[in-house]
Amino acid sequence: MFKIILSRLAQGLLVLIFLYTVTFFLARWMPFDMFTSDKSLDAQALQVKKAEFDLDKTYWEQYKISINKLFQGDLRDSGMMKQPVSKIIAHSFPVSFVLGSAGMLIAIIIGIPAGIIAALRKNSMIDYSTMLIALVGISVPAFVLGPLLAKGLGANVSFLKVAGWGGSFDWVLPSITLGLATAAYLARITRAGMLDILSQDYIRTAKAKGVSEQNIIIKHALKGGLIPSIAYIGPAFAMLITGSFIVESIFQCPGMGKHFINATKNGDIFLLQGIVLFFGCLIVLVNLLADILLVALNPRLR
Amino acid sequence: MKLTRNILTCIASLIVFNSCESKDSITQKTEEKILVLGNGAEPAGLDPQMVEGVIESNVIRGLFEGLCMDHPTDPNQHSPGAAASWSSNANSTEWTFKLHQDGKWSDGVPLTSHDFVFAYNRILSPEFGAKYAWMLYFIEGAEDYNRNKKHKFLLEHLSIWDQIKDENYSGDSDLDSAKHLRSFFSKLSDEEKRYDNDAKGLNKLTLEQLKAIKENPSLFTWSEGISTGDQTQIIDTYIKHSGKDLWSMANVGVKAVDDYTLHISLKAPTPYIPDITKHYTWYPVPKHIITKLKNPFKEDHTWTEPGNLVSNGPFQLKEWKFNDYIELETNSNYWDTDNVKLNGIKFLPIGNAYTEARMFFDNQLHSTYTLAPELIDYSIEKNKKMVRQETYLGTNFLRLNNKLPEFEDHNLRKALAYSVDSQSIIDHVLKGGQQAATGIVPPMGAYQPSTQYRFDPELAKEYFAKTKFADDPKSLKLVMVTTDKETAKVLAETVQDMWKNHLGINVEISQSDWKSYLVKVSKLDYGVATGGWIGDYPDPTTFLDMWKAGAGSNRTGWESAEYEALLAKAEMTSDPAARMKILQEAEAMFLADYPIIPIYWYTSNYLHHESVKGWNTHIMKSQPYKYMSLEN
Repeated sequence: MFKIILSRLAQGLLVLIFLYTVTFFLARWMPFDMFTSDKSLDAQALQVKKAEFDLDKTYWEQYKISINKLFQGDLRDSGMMKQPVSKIIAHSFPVSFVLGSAGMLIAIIIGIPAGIIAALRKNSMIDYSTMLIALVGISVPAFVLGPLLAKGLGANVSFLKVAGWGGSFDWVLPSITLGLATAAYLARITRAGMLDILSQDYIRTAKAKGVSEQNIIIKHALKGGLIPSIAYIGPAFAMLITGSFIVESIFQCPGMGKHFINATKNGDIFLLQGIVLFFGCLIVLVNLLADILLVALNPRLR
Repeated sequence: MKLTRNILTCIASLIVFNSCESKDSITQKTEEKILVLGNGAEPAGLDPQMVEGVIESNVIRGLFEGLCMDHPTDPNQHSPGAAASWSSNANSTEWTFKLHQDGKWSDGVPLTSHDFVFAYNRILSPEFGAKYAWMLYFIEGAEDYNRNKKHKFLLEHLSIWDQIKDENYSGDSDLDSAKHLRSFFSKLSDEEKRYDNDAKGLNKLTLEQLKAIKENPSLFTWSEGISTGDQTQIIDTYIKHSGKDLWSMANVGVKAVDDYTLHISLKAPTPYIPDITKHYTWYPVPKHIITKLKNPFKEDHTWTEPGNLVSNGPFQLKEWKFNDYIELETNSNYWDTDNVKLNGIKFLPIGNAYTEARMFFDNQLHSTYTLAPELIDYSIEKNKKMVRQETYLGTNFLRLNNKLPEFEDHNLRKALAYSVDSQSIIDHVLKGGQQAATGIVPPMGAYQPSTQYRFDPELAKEYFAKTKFADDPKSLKLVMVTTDKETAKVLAETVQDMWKNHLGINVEISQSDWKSYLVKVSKLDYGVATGGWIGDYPDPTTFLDMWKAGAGSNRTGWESAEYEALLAKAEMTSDPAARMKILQEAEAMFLADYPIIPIYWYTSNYLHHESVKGWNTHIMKSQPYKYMSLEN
């Protein structure tokens, strides 16, 4: 077990170095930079500004400086927001984390039971209707669902708002919007996983031995049937907590999603590098957790 | 590690402190006298000398105050701002501003004329690199200082000046001096030293470099005709003044006569200077705070953080929750604080116009930043009184790439121009009560807008018949570039359709994100480009200066020496009526070439709550918060 974790960590580190390097150079090959503006800067002022960000140096020197600062824990300043990148992440990640975690919780609470029930009642009305709803859930994009929830619930339920941040229940609607699509996927994956297990020989043997259905599901089927779902939850969770530009913009939440999009659109290279690296760390970490969980569930992986 | 700790603290505070806050209703905020405004996006800083946009300006106008202030009701008058009174000489070139004797910064330190001198020195300083420094070019010597024309200050008095004044002392930006800067100057080879010196130019060299050139003049590429003696004289002058402050050499026309009297000399008659002083670039900054920074003349945003920001306006910074809100509170040290009726202002950076409208109708905002065209009809139906449509100082137009061989034929430009039906675009696409534009300068004050452009499909066809494409309109290949903004896209498609209907030509639309679009248009890599311009101050020159040959905002390839001569003539004319006439002539001259196609003059559309009083129409939508009040 310890060996697996160690090797995964080493792999993760390699991935992060690769990710950072690729982002670093791609960001500098964009056709525009953070100084491109409608009211263009004159040549001299541009020189001054570029020097402030070391952009007057060669790519290789910039890379060395960046790596050096990175090891000192300095992600540098955002060119557009005029704030340290680490501060921007520290302020916006908690919001995305709360929204994403609540969204994931909603997805698990809805998706997994729905998938199990559908599998147990295979080809029945319950199965068809659950899967139909799941299909709708996957197909309806957040920019449709979000405003519908805002108009339907936010405007009418007293403790909810159509958008905004700071109140006790402001996480509810964006989390539902985030969670429902994931719930739908999860239901379908759980159903498939369960069906696969339920047709296995050892389940049939258990049935033949007269084990009650409840016991079969809880003691024998779930453990194996949920493996695909857990493998999916890991990356899905990472996706949810890194923030969604669309959901944050619909509900006006100060999360991380918008920084990623804006950094790219504005050529804000330091913000972009910082956020990509942070996302990378998160994904590596969450995947590691999912791997550990899978190993615990599946003896064959040990 | 620090990052992790920060994140954990934030999560904890979110869970713990979020527990009991009631609904943020506008009724409650009105009672508390706190104005809540939608403000488009998170400001990119609050240093008035560093920022460049409307969003930042909206917050900064509450925090700081310029010399003059808008009159509460009459747009043609000015009220005292940081200056209690002002006067000028007969031709408006010399201005004296008397500051309030009791004027203070929000930390209680007196606001003096030295703060203004310091501010103008800082924003104009070549090492500071302020984007908007040109807003102060009205001041005598400001441009030369900002462009670091050290040679002019140093060498102008020498007898050889006439001979050497056209030399390049600012360095050759095509040379990349960074290439050689892997070690100290003294360790470079002679060849590398010369390369470095040439790239930087005499104006930016250190004493060490200058001395090296004195010993070996070949370390700098002198142009022919400058004798060895002259070279020595030039280098000696540079060495003699090395280390001296550029500001004191430049003699910029800003002087503190005494603590409360500021004298400003302008390079040309500018009767509308009180309007200019309302722009944030002209605001004072706290000298006593900024001089304590590590380097006052480098970009440093620590002084604008909450708790640090000291300002001179009616409000001061109370809280800035990044990406969430900015809140201002009354500044009790403000000279006119008794007349400030609001207790505070809260700005929300809402980027999504639909979300903003939903929040407005959910009673969370007093006023929105914008109103999406699709929501205008809906909002009028819902509550007509809450929908504001006001004239806004801006023009939307199409740029034509004047360097394109196809456009050498002016008949084609005219054909395109006369077949754009602006009114129908306004009625069916924009729906915001805009005005069809007949020229580039929108109506303002005493200026008579041009009437050159109109929709006349018959005339357009006549002109088109004279082009070489008349027989085969499909042979004309044009690319129209546009941004990914929904309104720009729909506008481009509408124009594309009009040209197809009236002239039979096919234009291809190429959409890209904002910055890629800017790069394309700046490189003249387009045929037609959608575009717009918002005025920086209420004077026609803000729409006319941009077409000068060197202006970064030109982007059409159009240039004309006579046009620039007319603008220069207007600049030297002190009689306002005569000046306006010359500017009208200049505009007519520009439009006669059909380098652009004006489409509409902007309106600002937004939702506005009736409880806000004292919010009058303003051509730049920069209503002073000072005069506003809230009543249920």
